[in-house]
Amino acid sequence: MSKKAAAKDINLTDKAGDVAKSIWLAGLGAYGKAFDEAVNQYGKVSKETSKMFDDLVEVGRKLDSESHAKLSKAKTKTTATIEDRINKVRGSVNLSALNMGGSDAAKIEELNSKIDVLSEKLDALLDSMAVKPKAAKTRSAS
Amino acid sequence: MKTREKILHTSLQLFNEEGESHVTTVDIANEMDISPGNLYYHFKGKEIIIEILFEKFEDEFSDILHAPINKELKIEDSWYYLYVVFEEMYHYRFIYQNLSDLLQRYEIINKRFRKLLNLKFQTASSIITTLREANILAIDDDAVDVLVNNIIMTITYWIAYSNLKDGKQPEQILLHKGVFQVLSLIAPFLSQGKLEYRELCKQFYVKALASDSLKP
Repeated sequence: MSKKAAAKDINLTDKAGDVAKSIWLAGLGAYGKAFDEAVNQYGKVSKETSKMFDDLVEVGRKLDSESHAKLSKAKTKTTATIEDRINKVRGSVNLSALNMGGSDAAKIEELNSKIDVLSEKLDALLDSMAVKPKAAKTRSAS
Repeated sequence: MKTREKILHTSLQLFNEEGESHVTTVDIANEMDISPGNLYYHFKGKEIIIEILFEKFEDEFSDILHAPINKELKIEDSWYYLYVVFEEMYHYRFIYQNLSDLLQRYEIINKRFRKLLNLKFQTASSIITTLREANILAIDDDAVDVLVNNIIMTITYWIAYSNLKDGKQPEQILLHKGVFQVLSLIAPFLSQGKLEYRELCKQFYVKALASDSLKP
């Protein structure tokens, strides 16, 4: 295993939340029990049981990575949606200027939003005139 | 949009506008210009449509209530967040406009709504407790429960109450009023700066109404 791959593994473990941990532990418990039972049945640790254990570990590893993938996917989706929605409200109401106290701040904020609207309109206009998007982006020097 | 999605979309719209109990599956089919048979092919009745709509609401609303809001919030962030909470409920307002009646007639969502209500309570409760631990609120244990109940009651019944009191009004106005109402509930328990807090809430309220009413 390369260094990079190992680092990635650690990173994954870091990211795992409590839920992932408990899923993993529960899984480990179940497999542990299955292993004990298998050993009892055979009466001794044979080649077969150790192969069985390897299989179980493999299954566990697979499950572990699947649960990580699912969890992180769900997390990103949730965070993104709510942040988007909050930003939308922030954009339409924009109360932050009030916290800065002065009416100047509010005015600047207002002017800024007007400039944004104008820039958008300008972009749309340029687009409709079939100007290449690269040309339209030069406005970002503000 | 696929027919199935379109049926759900149209149903939600009709339920919200006319009240769920006044809308039949035939009305939904008519509105979409499809045959009732076609609608039946996708959904075997109104109950299933309602169940699926509720499921969507449940998913979205739980996401919002579970939102990882760990960083320190400014008051205006609370305003935005609460607005999104109200907005989500407004998108599915047919549930809240006639709540008891709806839950009585659809046993299947009754239990799940209670669960959601419980989640609302827990979320509000943990926010209030966090504010108390940070000494922002000075409030004793008994009062926490009363305050949380008041918050949840206001949130749950705001749409119905506000429509009753002030008549039909634009969505944004209705929702900002709700946010103002809820944030004002906390004011008496602030450990300091009550007056400033009230003043700030009032300013937000005025500004929010002004900027939103300008929109077409």
